[in-house]
Amino acid sequence: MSSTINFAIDLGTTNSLIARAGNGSVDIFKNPAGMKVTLPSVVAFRKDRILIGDKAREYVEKDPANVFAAFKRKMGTSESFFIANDGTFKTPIELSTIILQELQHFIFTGEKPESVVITIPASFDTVQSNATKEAGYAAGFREVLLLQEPIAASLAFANKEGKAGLQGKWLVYDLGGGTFDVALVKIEDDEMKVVDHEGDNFLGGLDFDQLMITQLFVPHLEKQFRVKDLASKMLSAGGKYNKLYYQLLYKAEEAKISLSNHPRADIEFDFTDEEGEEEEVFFTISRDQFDSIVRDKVTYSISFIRELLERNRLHSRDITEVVLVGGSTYIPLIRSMLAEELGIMVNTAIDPTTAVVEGAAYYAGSKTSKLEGGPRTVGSAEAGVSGARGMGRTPGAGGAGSSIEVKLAYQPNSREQAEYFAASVLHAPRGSRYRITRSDGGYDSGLKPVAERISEMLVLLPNTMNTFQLRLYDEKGGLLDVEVPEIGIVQGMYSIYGQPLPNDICLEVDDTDNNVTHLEVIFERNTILPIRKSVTKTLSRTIAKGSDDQLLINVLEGSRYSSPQSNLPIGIISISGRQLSTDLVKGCDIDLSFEITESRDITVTAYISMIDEEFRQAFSPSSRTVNVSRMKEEVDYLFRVSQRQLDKLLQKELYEEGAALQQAMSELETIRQKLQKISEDDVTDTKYQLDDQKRRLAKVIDASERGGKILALKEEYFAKKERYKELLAQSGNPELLKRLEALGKEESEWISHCSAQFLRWKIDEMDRMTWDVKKRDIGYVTSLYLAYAMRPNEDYSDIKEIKILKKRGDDALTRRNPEEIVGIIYRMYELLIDKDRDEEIRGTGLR
Amino acid sequence: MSQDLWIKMANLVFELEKKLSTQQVSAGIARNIDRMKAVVEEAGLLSLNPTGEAYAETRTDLEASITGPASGALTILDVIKPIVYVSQDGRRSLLQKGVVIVGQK
Repeated sequence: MSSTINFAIDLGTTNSLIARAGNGSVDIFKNPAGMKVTLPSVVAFRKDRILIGDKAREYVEKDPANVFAAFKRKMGTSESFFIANDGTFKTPIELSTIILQELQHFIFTGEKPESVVITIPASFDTVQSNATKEAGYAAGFREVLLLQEPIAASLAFANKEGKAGLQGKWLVYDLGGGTFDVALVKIEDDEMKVVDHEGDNFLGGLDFDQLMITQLFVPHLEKQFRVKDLASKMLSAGGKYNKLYYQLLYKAEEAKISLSNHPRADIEFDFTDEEGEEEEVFFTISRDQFDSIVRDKVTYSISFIRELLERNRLHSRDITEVVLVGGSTYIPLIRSMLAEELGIMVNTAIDPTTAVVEGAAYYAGSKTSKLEGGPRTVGSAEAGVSGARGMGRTPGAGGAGSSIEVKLAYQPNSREQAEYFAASVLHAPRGSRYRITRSDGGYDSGLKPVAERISEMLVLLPNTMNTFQLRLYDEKGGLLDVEVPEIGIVQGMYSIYGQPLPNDICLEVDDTDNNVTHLEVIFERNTILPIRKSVTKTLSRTIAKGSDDQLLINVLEGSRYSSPQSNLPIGIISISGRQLSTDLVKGCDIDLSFEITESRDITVTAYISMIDEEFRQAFSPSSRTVNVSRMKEEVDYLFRVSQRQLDKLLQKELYEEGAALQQAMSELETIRQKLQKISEDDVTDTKYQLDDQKRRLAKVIDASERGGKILALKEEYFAKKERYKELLAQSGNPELLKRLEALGKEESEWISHCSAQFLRWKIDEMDRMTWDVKKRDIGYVTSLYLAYAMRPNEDYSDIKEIKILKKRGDDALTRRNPEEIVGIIYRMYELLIDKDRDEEIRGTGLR
Repeated sequence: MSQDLWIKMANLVFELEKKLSTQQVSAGIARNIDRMKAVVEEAGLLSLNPTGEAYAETRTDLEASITGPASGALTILDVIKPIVYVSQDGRRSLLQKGVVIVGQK
């Protein structure tokens, strides 16, 4: 077990952070709700719950009697904060304790550190420092070490630059969101010391945002839309433009950040003028404009440095550098003015937002704990127990929570945006609190007092499983050792109110390389209706104006892993050449929208951008659409496939299997004859009967194929997958490797019952996915070339050219240049006569 | 494309749709927006527009500015940035908080 402290907290006036040192690097933990590293140091005591951080900050101005920020400034004073909502008082130590406890929830590893380094401002006296320590102990730490913020920041810089960095005396310039500090630091007798410091508790980035609004945005709006006195209308809580103020505050911050990296920033928002007309506002702010309005504030901050230097009888030349800390120091004007006005080198090597906590973590990583046996980092006390949803009953496992009994009650399925949750909690210690959080970070109940019966409205994310965790805390904020099952509520899906799809809904698309079609899933099985989706496909062949050729948008219901012919056609749109005003050229885009209502009506819309035409058709299960000419093609195709399969079976003397196939072929022949006799617009239900028969036969043929052919394809699939994995691992392409491995994750779903077409399509997908890597691999390219070169010249359409190509190819092999060999392979492929042409199925025209 | 760029794309699509919602737009433009949304979705991002939904202080998926009194039933009046979740390895997590303005209707 480690004997160093490792954990560090930057307990800031505006924001706080937590980090951990380990293996020579520092990890800064993120808030599970929103994944930000910073936690606003704000606590809100709302009517029935305690909110901490971002949510609390939202109420700072609206509910000042119950929301407390910047309490760090009051550390070490006897001042207490009165909470209007419950009539109690909280000390700055107690508020800091809540922040420190909240930061511990960021530690996703489940560790519970018992020792920690907490940073304090250079200005903190002994009383203030002790108050901070006390907050640390109250938050559950058994050992608390303090470190001054400028020292922490300096350590982060020193660590980055090695021993050569930070010599002599230097300045730490810390400009955050709302506070400014500057410290003079030096190394004396190998010890880093803060010599002196200065600061202003009311200067920061927020001032710059407000200046932008009052000096740039408001004059622009007043002038353009002739609004009078916009500033006061914006700042008045009940004012007409109060909403605009918050919108502009956000826009100003965004522009300020952008101007740190770009010379100009675009400002864009909607504005309702005095007449109630909605206007679009767009203007640009240059960095010069921004600089001119914040220059005075920066000059003001520099005056503190001058004072500091003067007081210590130092000149700028005595200072080796100034290191920058705090988010506002990203502003280029600050960097340039510090360098120009003071003539001191500016060091920006570290992220100014995290410099303090990073340095403190380095310190913690080097500091040995004085706790007996070293600092203990205890694993998470919580252990999820799988229990029947909605009726978990779990006594505590030991410790303070051992006698607590929790029973949960809730609906595991919901169609609402929020679901009612209740629980009974028996034998909880006095003053206990509970908290419910959603695992995706989108919901947090805040801390609420435990009663025998507790209830909450849990906000749900639509169409997904929402997982919540209920945790209990003792009076001091320590986690109670109670096992509570996870709360799982499915929103939208599997609900009795919403009808799930019994089968996949697929689109039939062409696989032009193999002259077959395959299915592409549009809506997965069990999706809740109603549903809508748009996809863009490409035309796989040119459809000439006036011709009988047709583009087919064929929507089928069934398994996506089986062949298109064995699935139920539920809607087809055919766009014939005769309907077209111009040729549809291969490669043009077709936007397809699919919509299924709760009563299973399907609407398919196809928009062809090339001709700017939309084709739309609604289908309902009661009026099935069958395209006769399409069915003729399918029957022909099935006949050919089964003939080939039958030949193979007979060769192997598998007469029994062959008999079933022969029977299927004879029935197909009957269908073929019947189809010859009916017209496309036949009004009887003959075509539906024939379609049903065709699908039944397609399944028989699919099954017969599964013997030898599927086995060979499976072998090819697995062999290629392994080979490609190896190839990708060698080529160092983790992204592609990940995609290839993802294929493996889903294959268990289809490998045992998919059609040969599906498997062939999957193999092609792998081939395509890896082509860019393969074509650079000399071994692969050589074997591919040899496969082509070993084919007899008669397989190619131009014998003279193929002979030349083989000669050139053999020469290229000696040069081992993959690019050259690939060029030859391409040409050989083009010359190859397609022996499978007879197998061709006309297809849909979509790919 | 990195996740940051996808978030930017989701925000731009959202803004575009918001701007166009106040005017009559051609079916072609609406179709293009739908295509863009489908592409963002394919990249694993779920973008949600909470306009008009009830606001609760428990919604950590929102960064709210409250206009007018903060008491009573609050509604999301305006959305500056949409909520964006990402799905990875079967787990969904919050990637971007929705930036909203809430108040009484």
